[in-house]
Amino acid sequence: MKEFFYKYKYLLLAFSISIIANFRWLSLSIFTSSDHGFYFLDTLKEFSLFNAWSALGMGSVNVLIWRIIAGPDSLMYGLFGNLGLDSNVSDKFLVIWPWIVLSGVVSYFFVRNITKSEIGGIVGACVFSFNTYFLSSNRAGHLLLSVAFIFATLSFFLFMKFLKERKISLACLTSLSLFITASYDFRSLYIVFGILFFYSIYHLIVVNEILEYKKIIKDTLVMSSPIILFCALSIFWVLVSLNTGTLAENSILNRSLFGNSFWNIQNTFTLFHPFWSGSAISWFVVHDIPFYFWLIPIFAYLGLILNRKNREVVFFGIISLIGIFLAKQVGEPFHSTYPWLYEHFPGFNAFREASKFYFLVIISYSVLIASFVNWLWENWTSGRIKVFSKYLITGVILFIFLWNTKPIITGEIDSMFIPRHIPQGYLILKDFILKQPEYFRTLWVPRDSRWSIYTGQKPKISSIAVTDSEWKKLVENNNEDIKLVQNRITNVFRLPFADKLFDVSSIKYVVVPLQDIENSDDFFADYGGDKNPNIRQWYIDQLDNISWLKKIDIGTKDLVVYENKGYKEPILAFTELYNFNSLDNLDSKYSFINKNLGSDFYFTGIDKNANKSPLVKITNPFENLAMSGIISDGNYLVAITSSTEGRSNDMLYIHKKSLSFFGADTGKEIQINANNGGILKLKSQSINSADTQNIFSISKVPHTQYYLQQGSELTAFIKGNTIDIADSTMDSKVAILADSANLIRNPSFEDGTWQDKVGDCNNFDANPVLGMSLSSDVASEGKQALQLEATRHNACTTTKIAIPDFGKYILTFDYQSSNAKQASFYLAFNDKEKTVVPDTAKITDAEWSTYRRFINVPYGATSATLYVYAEAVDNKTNIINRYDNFSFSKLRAVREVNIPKQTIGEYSKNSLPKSNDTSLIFTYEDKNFDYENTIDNGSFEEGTWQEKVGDCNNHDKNPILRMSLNTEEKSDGAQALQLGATRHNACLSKGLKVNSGGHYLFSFDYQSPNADHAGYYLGFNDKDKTIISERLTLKDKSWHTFIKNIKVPEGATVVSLFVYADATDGKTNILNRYDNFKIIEVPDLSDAYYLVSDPGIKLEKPKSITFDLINPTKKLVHIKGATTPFYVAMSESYHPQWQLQFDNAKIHGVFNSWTPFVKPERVGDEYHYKLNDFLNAWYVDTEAYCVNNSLCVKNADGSYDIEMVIEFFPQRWFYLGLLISGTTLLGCIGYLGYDGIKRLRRKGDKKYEKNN
Amino acid sequence: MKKIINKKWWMSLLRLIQKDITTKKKRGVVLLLVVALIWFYLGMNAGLLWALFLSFALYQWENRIIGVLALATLVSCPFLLSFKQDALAEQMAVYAYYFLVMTVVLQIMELRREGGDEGSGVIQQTRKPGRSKPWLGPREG
Repeated sequence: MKEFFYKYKYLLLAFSISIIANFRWLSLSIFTSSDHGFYFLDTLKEFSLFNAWSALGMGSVNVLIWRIIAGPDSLMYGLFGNLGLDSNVSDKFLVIWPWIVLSGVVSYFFVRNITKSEIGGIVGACVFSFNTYFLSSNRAGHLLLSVAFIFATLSFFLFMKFLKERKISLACLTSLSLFITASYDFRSLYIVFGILFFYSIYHLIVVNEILEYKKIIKDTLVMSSPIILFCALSIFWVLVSLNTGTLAENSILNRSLFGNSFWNIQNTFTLFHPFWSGSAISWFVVHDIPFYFWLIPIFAYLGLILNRKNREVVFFGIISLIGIFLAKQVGEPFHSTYPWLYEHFPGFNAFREASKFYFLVIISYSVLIASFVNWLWENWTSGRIKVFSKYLITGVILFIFLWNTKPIITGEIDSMFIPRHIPQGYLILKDFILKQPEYFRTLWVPRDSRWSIYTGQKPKISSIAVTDSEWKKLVENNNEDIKLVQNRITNVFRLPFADKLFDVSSIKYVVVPLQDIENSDDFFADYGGDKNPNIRQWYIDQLDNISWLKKIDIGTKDLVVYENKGYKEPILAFTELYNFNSLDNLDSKYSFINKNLGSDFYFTGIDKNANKSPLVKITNPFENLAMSGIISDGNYLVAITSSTEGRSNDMLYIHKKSLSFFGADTGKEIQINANNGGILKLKSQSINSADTQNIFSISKVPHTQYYLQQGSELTAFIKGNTIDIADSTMDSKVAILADSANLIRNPSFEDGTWQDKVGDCNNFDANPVLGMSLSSDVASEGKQALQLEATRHNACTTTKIAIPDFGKYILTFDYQSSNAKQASFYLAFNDKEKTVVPDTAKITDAEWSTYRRFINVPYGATSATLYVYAEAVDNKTNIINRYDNFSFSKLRAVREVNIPKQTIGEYSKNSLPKSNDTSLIFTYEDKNFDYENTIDNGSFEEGTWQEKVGDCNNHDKNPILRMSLNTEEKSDGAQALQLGATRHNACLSKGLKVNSGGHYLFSFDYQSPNADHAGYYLGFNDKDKTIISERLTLKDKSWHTFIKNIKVPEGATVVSLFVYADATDGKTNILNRYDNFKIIEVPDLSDAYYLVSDPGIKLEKPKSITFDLINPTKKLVHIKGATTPFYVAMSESYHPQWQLQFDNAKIHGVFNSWTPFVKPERVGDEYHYKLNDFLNAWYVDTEAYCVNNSLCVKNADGSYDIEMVIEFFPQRWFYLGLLISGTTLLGCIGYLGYDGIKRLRRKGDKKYEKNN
Repeated sequence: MKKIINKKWWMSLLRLIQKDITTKKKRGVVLLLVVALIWFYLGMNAGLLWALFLSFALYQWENRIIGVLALATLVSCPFLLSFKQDALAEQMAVYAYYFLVMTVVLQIMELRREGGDEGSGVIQQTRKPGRSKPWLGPREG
């Protein structure tokens, strides 16, 4: 025993340090944090049946099918679940304890093998186990990755041994170790493959010095043998991934590069994780590198220099430099290499941030530092100073790494190192959910908790996840304010068809989780809680208002649970499936179908089989209007829709609400009129007619200004112009008001200025530069206008107004400037409260504009003082503001006019003229629209919109931005705008006048040689400051056209348009080019017309449809009493490889039941639809399958019974792969067993020979 | 360390470098041409770094000199950071990286030329006998 301890003292030391450092993890308590979750045994049990399809959430291809040993959805976790153990136990055996035991032991053997030194081994083990990368990673719950890197190290160790000894057993062990590495985290396998590749080449060329190509080929084949074995072991998931296409593209690989600002060469050199604080870690907060961390690279490279003749040490020098280069991401040097590799190198896009490459630095520093220590211990053996220094340096090295364990030992690091406890409410909910036998889903708002129960029969859905994936298209078009995540989450509940969506998604319960602060799991902070401390209550309040959800009491107040009574079974039959030409305006389409066609809301989007039976095609001809559809010369719109083959009963539904109201000033009269919009024509033949009716009119009194009041909005009647009355005003009143005598003396400055001298309204020092004059060349009324100038301080002038009475008044004035951003005034009353009314008006161009505002004059006020300003900006520019034509007068009500209620959602049904043409050409004429482009100089033919490029991210004083006109790269005219940004974001803006509530078609062309996105921003000046902005992804260098329908918010009169070039790494000049901007006002025809093309087939549901859920990839469907064709829906995410098969001999039997080489009788792919844009549906044609092919059982009443199977076909490839992988695994284990016995026998023989 | 402060040692080193440059003129011409091209296309920094690397590669000078240069630049980083010279520290780290790349490449070249040891970690064992000039690599006759 003593001998054993002495022999393995360093190994035992490495092991002991690991145990001490991680002593908190030795208990069976629950340790969970961020990415490392907790799973009840009911959840775990199902993982043992691992499949190509994951039933979690709405269902998806199992992209983590390779994860069979560890991880939340792995086979081994499933086995623990079947033993009746929750994940706190499986975690210990499969992840946490392997880390504690193996991190020190594997790295010790690995480093000792290279340095041939015990002290080297212990130093290497400390470097490997206690560096800030692994400790930070473990703290964040990324333990699978850490353990994977241990097995990656073991794989490399075995591979090195294999290359030396060339034994089959070592090849087997290497492949098994690689297989385990992959099953923990696939990215670590990618990195270790890179190391093995480089080592093989290095071994061939530098170590073995082989230059003969025949020998190189032979050696390469030998070296490849562990890799070939590994491939055979992994074939079970490779076949599935190839078959489903997830190997090349999946949610993990499709993420964009992240965290460029976190990583740099200094951090990677010093092996310092940027978020490491030496205490509790704040993720994404970068810390300074402590001084002593710089000793790490110095010791490491001293090891390299001192051991330069050691080929293996030199190899680790190479690996360290590769690691540093990659782990710095976009840091210098060669900052653009990582993004290039990310875009172009196969598999590299699994590394959206570079931290995983720290492993290369860790493994190489372990060897290099150990080599340095080993050199010291071998060379500094004599002399007191040398011996002392040797101990001191070794101690310093060990201290640097062991000191990192302090926050773990003390517990101050928190997160994964603190035991957690399941709140009682989740246990009650678990029992409540699991006791119900039927299939349903639970939706968690805003997202699921780590304690949320789920099984294959009771999947859980995170509200934010489903809103951003399966439901994204359905929600996006209806979202009013998707910028706020909480709105994005709750808006889905307010969709008119939300209950239908929840029903078809089989969501029975909606749960609001706890703000679990005790367990450090308050994720509400990420979903609106950062600004609203009562965000959970806000979510509950929102859900309380949803009529189709009923709050229920499950016996706990911790969780708030709502029941959706109308939820549907996961497999059902239905009869009408609508096909839309776009998924925009789904609210209107739902309303149309609900009120006019009277059936359930089942639909498909753009489908290649849309023109075929049996879909009911619903087309809104003007919904996706292109710019080419606007004929501005003839003032009409053109839309071409394809006619449906063989259908003669197409109907056009015309919305009855198409009356629009407007006010008009004819010069003699003030009128309120209504018209029914424009004229719709099909091939020049009118389908409806335009008509204007007068609702009210009144004769004008001379010299009186009339106003139309809609709610709080006030608009002046101007002769010849019309005022649109907003739809929101329907069934309410508008008022016509008139002004009275102007109370401002000298309102147009025809008698001079109001005061002799200009006032200084910001006299913070004694150096004002101000001016006031009368401008005679620029005036909006009369001969002259007031001109205020300010270079320093603010210029102002004032006039007194005598107030006859309190009440409602109107203040109007005209303002103009060629260089000021705003015109402002300040009105102060002399009432007791000293009421003041300040306001500013934005200036968007050099034209005169008119400001109008209601003013409620307070009781007791007898006079008011009006100030107007010119405000200095930079102490250099002479800001000039001009004012004219002031008016302040009391308003009197002339008349209130009732606007009648419109019938919303009702349509008239119209037959279309008979025609043999395959395309229908609709035109729409509306004399109220001229279809002129609102943007002047939209193609930049007259130069840029502004003289200087804007800085839209001025976080410091060092922008590097450019703006120019490019005559070579353009999409329209002779030149295009080119914005360049190296630091900060370049932007260009333009202010545009728009009509409140108007609809516009906005389009522009964009291109870039090096940006990954273009961007625009539209900011309106309405009360809510509505914003529409988007980042438009760029994947090539060609020009693209962006087009969007925009509804101007009520009350908005001006929109600011911005376009951008966003800097990336502070070094590359990102160029974005824009051209051909158009904003054209168009009539709102989003729900005006629907062309319904019905196949004319009467469908009926079968008498009954029942099902058995065999596993996530297989469901048996029993259909009884089908008399006509019908649709079958399945509530799993759409995937083209889901098949609806007939349950017969073709898929039964020893082989046919699992091999992928069968050809089952099934519903054709042309009748497999993406139901509601995210689920599966099939059209079962009883005529074709039952009558013609006898695949059904005919009943006495003539109806049919059909036995069917819904199968995810790639599962069969999984079975085949499993057979190959399993055989290889058994072969490897068998050989290792045989080899082991052989060795033992040989050892026994030797012992026997020795003893005799 | 004693050698570094020994004037004679420096003089002998300089003489050897001078001798290399004057006796191996062809290499010098190649070096100058390549460096000039790099300087012209990639700038002064790249030119100087390549000049350093190629002269060590072509004249087979001791790669540890560049290794020490790398360590010196690395050592400067924490001091520069403590004086808030972050940009300069970043630049020095980049230079350290370049020097280390040079060191490793020169080491591999040396291993290919001279052979080495596999994992003993004892460099004295593999050092070839008869090398009297510790700061210079094997000489051509």
